[in-house]
Amino acid sequence: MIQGLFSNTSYAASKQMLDVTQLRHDALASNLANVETPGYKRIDLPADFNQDFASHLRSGDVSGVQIPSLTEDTSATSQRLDGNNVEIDKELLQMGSNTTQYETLSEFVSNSIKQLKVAISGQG
Amino acid sequence: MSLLGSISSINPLGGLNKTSDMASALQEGVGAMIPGGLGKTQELAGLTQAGALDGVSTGALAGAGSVQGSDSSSAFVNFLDNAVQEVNGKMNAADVQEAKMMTGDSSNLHQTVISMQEANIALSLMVNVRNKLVESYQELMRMQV
Amino acid sequence: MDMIPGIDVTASALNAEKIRMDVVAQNIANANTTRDTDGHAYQRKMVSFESVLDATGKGVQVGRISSDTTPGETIYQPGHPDADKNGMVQMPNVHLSTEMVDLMSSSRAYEANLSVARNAKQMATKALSIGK
Repeated sequence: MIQGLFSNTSYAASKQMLDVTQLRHDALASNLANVETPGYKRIDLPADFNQDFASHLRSGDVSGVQIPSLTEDTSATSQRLDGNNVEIDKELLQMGSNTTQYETLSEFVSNSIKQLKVAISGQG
Repeated sequence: MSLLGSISSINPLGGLNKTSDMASALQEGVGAMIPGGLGKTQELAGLTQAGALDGVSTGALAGAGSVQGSDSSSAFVNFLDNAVQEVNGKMNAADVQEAKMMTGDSSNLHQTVISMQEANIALSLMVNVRNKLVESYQELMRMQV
Repeated sequence: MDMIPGIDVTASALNAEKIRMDVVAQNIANANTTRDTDGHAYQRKMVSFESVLDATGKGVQVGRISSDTTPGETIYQPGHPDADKNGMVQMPNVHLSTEMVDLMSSSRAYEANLSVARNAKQMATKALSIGK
């Protein structure tokens, strides 16, 4: 009975995406921290993760999704003289949108929880 | 009757230990209610009307004198038992997350908050179910035989 | 560990950039120091960064502060107290243009990391208000 309350696909998916978004924040933070380190290559989530997650979501079962680990971004090619390929402005913009994504997901989860509370207590 | 006594003695604010008390008290209480209540056929009719026992047929319950007398009644007891175990599980999970946060083990702030909220909701649901059960029982007892 | 996501990595970056700015400031301050504590002209200091692998990601630390050994200019000033027998004075190898560029990129990296810290705190605040 209790588990059924929380088994909504979108709710479960949002909880997982929160984990993933936080992981991506760690990657972007690491990139920006090392913007002046010679030879540093930027890291990010694996490129196919988004598609993988989207197909899980479409099929309605997100329990099989594994939190990925951060890998070197092979598509980032432009590098400076010292071998560092971090583009500071791009990272900052991505960080901004990542933060917004985290806040939106939080809002969605929060909303679902509040709805459950209203439903159970019968009071709005 | 022991049901009323055992249900009202459950204190939902007691936390982890009390939910397992709740489980055993509910189990005992509902088990006690069924043979006692089912002894009277008129009360049977009242029971199905009040909806306290879902899907119970009057014929099957007539004259039943023991807890094992009806599959549906023990199914209901199991149902409640499972529900309380789930609530207990959720509250334990929330405590584990908090402990991890205190020892510096966890960097997952949103997971901790979500576990806490889910435990609250589960508990709240359980308490409301309990309240409704008590209400139904009291309604039942008020009926003229 | 991190209550606020990624904060250890960001803190290490802020620290490293601050050290670099301090070194630049020291270089600029000593742009005309013809006699250092070792008796020779001041040699500009350089900071080398290196990544350090943390549990959450790659932080950064100052690997070494080393001296730049390229010789500076020598100018002809016979009356100078540090002039050698030919009247030549060894000047420090500090060039203001280089130092200013270093300062600007260090400052920009510092501000970027401050922005990361702000974002992280925003995320944590939002997470705490789930369900309320």
